[in-house]
Amino acid sequence: MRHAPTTAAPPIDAVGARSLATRLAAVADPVAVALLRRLVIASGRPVADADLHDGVEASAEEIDDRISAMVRVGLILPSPGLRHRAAPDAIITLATVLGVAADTPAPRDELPPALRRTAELLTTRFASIFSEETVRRYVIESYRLLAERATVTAHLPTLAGRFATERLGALASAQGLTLATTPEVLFVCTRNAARSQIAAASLRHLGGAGVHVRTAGTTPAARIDPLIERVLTEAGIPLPAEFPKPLTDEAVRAADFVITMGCGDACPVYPGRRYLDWPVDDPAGRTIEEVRRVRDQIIGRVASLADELGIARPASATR
Amino acid sequence: MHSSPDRQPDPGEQPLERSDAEGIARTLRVLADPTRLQMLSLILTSDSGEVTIGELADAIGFRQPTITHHAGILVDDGVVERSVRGRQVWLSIASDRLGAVRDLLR
Repeated sequence: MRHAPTTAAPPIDAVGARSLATRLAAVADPVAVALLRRLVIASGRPVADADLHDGVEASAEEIDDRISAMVRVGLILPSPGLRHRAAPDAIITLATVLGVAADTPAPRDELPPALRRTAELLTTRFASIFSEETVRRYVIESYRLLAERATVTAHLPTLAGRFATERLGALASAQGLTLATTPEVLFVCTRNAARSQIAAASLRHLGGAGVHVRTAGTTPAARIDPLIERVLTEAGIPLPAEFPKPLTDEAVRAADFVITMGCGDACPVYPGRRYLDWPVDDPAGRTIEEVRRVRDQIIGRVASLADELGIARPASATR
Repeated sequence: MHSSPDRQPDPGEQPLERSDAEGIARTLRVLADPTRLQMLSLILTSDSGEVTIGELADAIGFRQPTITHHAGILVDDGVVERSVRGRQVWLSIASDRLGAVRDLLR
């Protein structure tokens, strides 16, 4: 769908209204409301079915019935290991109705100054696509997601800003709101500190503006391994301002290609994306020679991928 | 009961009262109707944020009494406010529901 950035969205048509009404009908019941609210609060992270059963007053049959109904209309998604999670669309469109997000945006003073600035910048940047409330919610949520895992908190507001930017960008492409003429590639490894960073840096270097590259980790590390920076510099590949971050649903939905390295099982699977699993060892704790070997292995695979994507490779296209 | 006392309190994680869940479900039942969603969308995307019953009827292709009936359901739940000026009935989204409706129709 093409979306002109300068004009307001047209009103919903009869077909869109019917489909939205069907989705809403699946949650128009107190038990469904309580269930979806729990999942929206978890903001896309999977919640065990057992916890959903514990936290909602209803019979097991009733709960399973509401979950199935919401899965059928795509509001929630099954996750491996008897878990479910809220779909990104559900989080965006229903958080306010469910009373998870305040209807009127929280006063600006409630955000730490650095986050407030980030939210303002992103509101401007995504003005044609998302409301101020949505952007602020994503900034706050991204901050929380990173803060939960952080060992060093000094740069958290900056990192949260970048993470929120990526998530909003991914969400916009997943919803077809941006013109996705360039292929979107997502590299996922366990720590998002070495393999996915090498792959992303090499593909950005090769593809320049011809490809959109994202990275994530299933259990992100605190920072990128210093050896990685060194071996990339040796290969003449600039390491962009990246940081380890958790895998989110929107990142997967936005991707045309999802490349996993050592974490295939933990990656949610959506139809229409191409999934590749690269068997590459984690270079954590290895000697520099071994890290170089991993680097060369990944660079080789990235070069074939770039060929397959038909990405032009002028050196001047890199930043 | 599912609660972990060692976690930091989070306003969003307050357990939902049964009556609140029923209220939200009632609103969702009101919203889960194609005609009412189209009406809300037309009001939302209008320049002034206000649309007459007649304009809605023309835009959606239904007769005015049908639109008036749906408007009544939206007004009863407090999603929409009605104001009568002259011979026209104008509908607007209630200011405390604007964020919710806007997110919903995103």
